[in-house]
Amino acid sequence: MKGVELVKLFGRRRTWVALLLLNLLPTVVAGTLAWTGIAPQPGSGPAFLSAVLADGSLFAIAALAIVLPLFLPIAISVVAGEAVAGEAQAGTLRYLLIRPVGRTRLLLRKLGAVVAFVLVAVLSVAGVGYVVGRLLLGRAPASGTLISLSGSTLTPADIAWRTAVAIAYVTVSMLGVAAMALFLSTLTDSPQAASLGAMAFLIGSSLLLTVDAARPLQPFLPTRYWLSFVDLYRDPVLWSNIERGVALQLVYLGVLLTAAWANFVTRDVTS
Amino acid sequence: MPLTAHPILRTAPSRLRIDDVSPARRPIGRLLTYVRRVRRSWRWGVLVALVAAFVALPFVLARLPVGSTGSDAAETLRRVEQSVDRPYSGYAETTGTLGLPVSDGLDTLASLLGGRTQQRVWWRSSTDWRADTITPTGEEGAHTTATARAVWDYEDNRAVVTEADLDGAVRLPRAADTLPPLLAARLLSEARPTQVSTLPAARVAGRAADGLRLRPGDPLSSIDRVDVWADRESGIPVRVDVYGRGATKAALSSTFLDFDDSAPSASTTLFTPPPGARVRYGQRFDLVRQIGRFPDRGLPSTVLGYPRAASPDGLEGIGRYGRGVTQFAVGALPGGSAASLRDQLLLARAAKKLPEGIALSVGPVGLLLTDPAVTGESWLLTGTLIPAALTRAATELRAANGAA
Amino acid sequence: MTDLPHPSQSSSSSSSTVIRTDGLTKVYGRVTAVDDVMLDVRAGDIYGFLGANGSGKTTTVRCLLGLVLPTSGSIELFGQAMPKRASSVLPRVGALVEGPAAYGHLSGRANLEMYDASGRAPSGPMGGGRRGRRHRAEEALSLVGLSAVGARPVRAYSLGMRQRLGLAAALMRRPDLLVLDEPTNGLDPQGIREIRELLLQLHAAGTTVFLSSHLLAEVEQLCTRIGLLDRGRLVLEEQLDVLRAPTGRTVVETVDVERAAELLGPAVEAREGERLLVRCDDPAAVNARLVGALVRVRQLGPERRTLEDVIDEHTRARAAEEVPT
Repeated sequence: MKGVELVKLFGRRRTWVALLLLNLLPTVVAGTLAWTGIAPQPGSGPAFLSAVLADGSLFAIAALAIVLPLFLPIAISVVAGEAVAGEAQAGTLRYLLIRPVGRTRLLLRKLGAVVAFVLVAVLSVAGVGYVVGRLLLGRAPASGTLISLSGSTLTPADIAWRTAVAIAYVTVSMLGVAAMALFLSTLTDSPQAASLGAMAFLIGSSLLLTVDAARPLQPFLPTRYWLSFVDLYRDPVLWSNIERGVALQLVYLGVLLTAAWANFVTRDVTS
Repeated sequence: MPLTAHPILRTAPSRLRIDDVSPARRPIGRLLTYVRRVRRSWRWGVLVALVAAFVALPFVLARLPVGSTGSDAAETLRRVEQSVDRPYSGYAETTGTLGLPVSDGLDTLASLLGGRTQQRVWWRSSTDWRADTITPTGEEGAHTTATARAVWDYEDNRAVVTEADLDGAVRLPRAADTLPPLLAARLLSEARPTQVSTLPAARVAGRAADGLRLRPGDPLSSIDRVDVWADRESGIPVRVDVYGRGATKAALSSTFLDFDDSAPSASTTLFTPPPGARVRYGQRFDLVRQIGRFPDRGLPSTVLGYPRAASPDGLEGIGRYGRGVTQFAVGALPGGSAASLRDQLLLARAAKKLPEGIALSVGPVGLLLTDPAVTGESWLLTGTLIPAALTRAATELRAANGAA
Repeated sequence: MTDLPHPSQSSSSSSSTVIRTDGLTKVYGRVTAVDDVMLDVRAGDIYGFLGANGSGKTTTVRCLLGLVLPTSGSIELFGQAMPKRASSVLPRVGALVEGPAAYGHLSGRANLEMYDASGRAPSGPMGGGRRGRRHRAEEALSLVGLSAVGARPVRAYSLGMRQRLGLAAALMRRPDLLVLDEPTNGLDPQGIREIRELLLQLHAAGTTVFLSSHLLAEVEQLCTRIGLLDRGRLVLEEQLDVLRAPTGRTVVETVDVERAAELLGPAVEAREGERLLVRCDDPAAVNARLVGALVRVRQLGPERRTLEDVIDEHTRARAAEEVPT
């Protein structure tokens, strides 16, 4: 019975369409790269994209960097925004609560399903990126090594654990957005409103990061440390931003989830 | 028939209710209601407490008592001087508020002094260290040994290997020069115990640090004061703030975000160009060295009473003068470069036309490009001097050359 | 008032209370949707909760089920406080609130199984496992007559079929209390009859039914007890039998109106054409008297009120009440 929310989420065509679209963009990028053979100017495009023509397996990380700033959080906003508001809109929320499912428990289940979606999304993007990269892009070296940002050579074992941590970190990075969408989802009966609200939160945060005057605010912005997964490919690994990023996301998760809980548990369900 | 068709009687329910209600149930109901309300507000209270705790956390951490060792400024200064060449590693951030209006060949310097630079440093000794400038998608790592300096640029996939810098060589400032230990060493080099006062101890990178304030008291200097905090454990400077005259905001602030005073491993600072990377041997372009290669156009041995520093690499076109925090350089620009720089300076809003030439002050950094019609050459003077001192220096230069 | 004891009434006095509210009030902003309502529903009742649209029925039902938190007042279901003890009370309740709801892309059967799986499974031989769940879903579908279309996606269901599916979900765990909000919405007459029979069967098997409706006829045919809600206030709560009990008057229809009126004298309360209302709770005595005097009686019997009459009576009373103001 813990799996009900997962069955609900992954039994829905919409979820698979979202995953498909999420994987489509990096695949198109890989296709054009393979077709034209022109890598972006180093430092101008998403991280690692300039290096994928040499080593196609790097595209697993490049694909994550491509979807991370916008596509992935949007997909998560949509899925998490739907969590409670979608049930309210369909009218099934009242029946779930009568079943009875405790409100706190329902919220935690919804969060669990959203986290599972994030994980599946990140893993699928990395996995599809790897396969597409190997098939379409530079498959020559197969040495399994990678040059770190610091100019040292990383062994396959190094790459493996760093990539595993990177995938975990990207997943954690999305928790803030997911919690925001979930909180908004308990405030309104319109899943679209909840998703849009979470996206506005996200875009606002990204925008403030580019404004110098907002510098005192920046360490607290949820997107501040998103790209820090790149730090895993420095040698030695620069952990401080990753640690700050994880701590920040956990704070957002804690605060927003508490807000969602305080609101949902004391709320009148009139949908 | 639907009930809606009937206007329904409105009567007090008690009149029509058959079953009576025991009077005891009402107060209990009230009590339950009250309890429920408290429980509701209690949940929001948890949220408010949580937010308050998270918001307060950084402030509380920053204000954690750091204790006092009772060491005064003079003692801290002595410890800083002793800490030179102690090993350390860390992650530092430099914030500059100086918007340089120049660009050609100086964009690296402009972004260093006018923006935020993050660096990682591993310092084993002055002949074995590494400083990486971090960008979101790349890094530029400089590995320095006794004989060579290798700069790895990830985004260019290129390594440039040059001979190690000679001490005191004329060159543009680099990012690593703003690392707190290196910046403090330069700024405190001439400081006397009488010039420094004690600042309250602070917490830098989570470690206790003792503070000192240097007021150079030099009437010609544009630097008002330099605040330095040194790691209590090792004496290594971990934070440096430089203030110009009359400024409440630091012109340049450099602080460690993470700091470790143990010696980094040799493998960290070692650099071997990776396979497939381009490797170039020789200098990178450096505007100052370019000017320095011109012949000496009659630089005096003292300007404003400051002696000229020796040039270890034989570049005679630029003279370096100054002491401690008061540092300036003088060089003669050839006609073409001078004209182009003059055009650039005229575009800057803060530029002032003086009889001696065009002057510009960016925070504590002053710049004067003299008019050759007045001073004979297009002298470029720049450094931590107040504007009046720059014009006086220009007059001295004319006098010296007139005499020669 | 001579009144025969009614079977349902005698049973209610000994049975326990299933729903009890005390001073239940719900205020939305400046609107008082439910105002100081004291409900009393006993085990074995089929309780008809009457009220016009917008009179606060649905809000009351939502309060009972813990969906809406009352502004003040208390609620007890099976003697336990709501919504505090919802987790132990609600498993004994099946409900249909303001229309059915289901996931359109899933089949009726899948919806029921999913709904069953989302909460704690009942203990006992059927248990929570996959087989018990499938069996319960199948049973519920056949109860409401949806077995044939159980595999079709709900998206393709008609309103009536959805209503039946909602009822199936409510019945799935064999609740002791059924709370039904307008359960015959969207059903055709045949469907309405089937649902009514199903409810009577369930009632016979011991289920208490709380039926909220604005259809007088539906309530009158089915219920044993009614509550009448008007603009948030409970203005009437009574056994239906009591409301429809003989009024203590006898209705006489006769062709010899004048003679009859003369005979009965001051006992005649009203006279309309060939119809007399006689204050006497014994029609047999009236009949004997009239027949003994050779009055030609066409029809004679105790006066009984319909539910509609009750409300009509209140209407007249209110009209009278409102004249002076």
